[in-house]
Amino acid sequence: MSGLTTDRTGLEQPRLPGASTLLRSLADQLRMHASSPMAVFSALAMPCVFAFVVHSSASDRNATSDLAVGSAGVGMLDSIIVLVVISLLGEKQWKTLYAALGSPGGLVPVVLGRLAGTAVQSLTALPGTLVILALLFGVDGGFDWARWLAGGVLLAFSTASVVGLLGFAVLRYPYSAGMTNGLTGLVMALSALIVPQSALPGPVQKLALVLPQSHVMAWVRGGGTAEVLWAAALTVVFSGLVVLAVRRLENMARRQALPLEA
Amino acid sequence: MPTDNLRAVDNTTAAGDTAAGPAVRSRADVRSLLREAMLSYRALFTWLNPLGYLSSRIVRPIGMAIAFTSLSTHYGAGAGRMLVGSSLLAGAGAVVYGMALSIGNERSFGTLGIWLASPQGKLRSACLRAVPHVVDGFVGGLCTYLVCCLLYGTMPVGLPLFAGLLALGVVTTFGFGLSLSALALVVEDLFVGPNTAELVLMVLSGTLVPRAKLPGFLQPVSDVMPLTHVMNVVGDELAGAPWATSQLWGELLVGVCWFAASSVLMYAAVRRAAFRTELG
Repeated sequence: MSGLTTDRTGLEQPRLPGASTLLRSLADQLRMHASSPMAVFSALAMPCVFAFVVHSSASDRNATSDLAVGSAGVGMLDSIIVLVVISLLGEKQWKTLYAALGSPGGLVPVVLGRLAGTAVQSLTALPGTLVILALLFGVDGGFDWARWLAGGVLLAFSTASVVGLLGFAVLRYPYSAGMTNGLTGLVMALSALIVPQSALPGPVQKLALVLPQSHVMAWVRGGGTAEVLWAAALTVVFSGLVVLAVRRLENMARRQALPLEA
Repeated sequence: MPTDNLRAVDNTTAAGDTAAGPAVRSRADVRSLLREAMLSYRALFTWLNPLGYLSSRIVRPIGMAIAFTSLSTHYGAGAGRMLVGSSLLAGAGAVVYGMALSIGNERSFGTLGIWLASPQGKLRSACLRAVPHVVDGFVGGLCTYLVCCLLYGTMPVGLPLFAGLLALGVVTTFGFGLSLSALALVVEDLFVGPNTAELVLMVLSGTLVPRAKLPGFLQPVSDVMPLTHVMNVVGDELAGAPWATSQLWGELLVGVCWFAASSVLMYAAVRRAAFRTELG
């Protein structure tokens, strides 16, 4: 398998035109932002403070798997938002989106690659917060390692799929300073990261069902397989929405000469 | 044109002095100070756009307050203390970020050198710039409190008392925030200071974690943080016990001490910055 195919003109084309761009974009994300102090701060400091607050509310608790995943989820959310904004604004400033627009896969692989990169990068919050929680509170005897690992990874990717819509907004509209600050608070409350969904106030509970993270957390807290399936399905739906939104952006850039650099 | 305006201002001031004396002059001074504060707010508070303001000053604190209040109710502690604490923290957070941005953005816009060279007291200028953020913090905290009270169907502390405590809290946080203004002259990354300060307030101010639940060595540190004494009053009020006025004086003292320490820090930071050739 060479990974290449021949088109009508006889020229060799990649079998999956966007795959290599997606991988390149993912690698670029990790190469450029993996050691960003702000991302590390978001991924580690904030979740540990939240874990401390949770622990003080339930003072007899050791670090259980849901506390570990939920706390890491706060860090993942914060760092993914910061990284998506920084990386996509960078693409706009460097005017690299025009080159992507002219490539076979268009903008979609670039954006998906960046999102996948931020999700991978945010995974540092999972072991990072666990180490600190273990040092502070000790690990609970009934710690479910499988749910911690699988739930944590699924949480990172589901969060990236939701924040992907923010990526579209950053690319489509001029950036307003501070516009993304509220997302951390809002999505954190809706994701049921530090408390079960049932503990949220009535109107917020219903909204939480729409986000895949709340289903991931329900599974980590002992829910059945249906919760994982819901989480996976909603992650796919949100990713699909991101793809559709970016495709629409491509059309606007091509047909209405929408600038991709402001 | 500018010369004519200056002459007109001079004439007005002179007329005011002769006609109505120092009272008119002091009113003009106050107007001038408020105008300076508002100009700095409009120029340096980069979140002053509809999306940025709504997102940073309204949505974020409300989302945080919902998460923390739900946490408290989930573990059976009731909504009261956490709801009030989160709302006070919303007000304090606005002051902390605003004061850091009001100096740090001089660096971002490349005007730090001009500001340092200008013939005005830097401490006075930093204090003036804080005024809109103190007002903003009060509005944001009140808004968070009212929205959360509606969501949870309870008002743990009467509105006049809450407003009074919030006002005191944002004023004492101003003293603490001044240290972040000074820090913004030293640390080049604008958000390191306020982000860290917000996390410190979350843990040590008694708003989200009661002082008694902190490790022993952190309890004295909590006593010198803004909002701790205000939260003591809230705790007494929620327990139905009479609260001591000394707690309010204690809170005010904390604010004054922070102001004094931050003033020294500001003096040192300005001197350090003035001697540097590159302000970056």
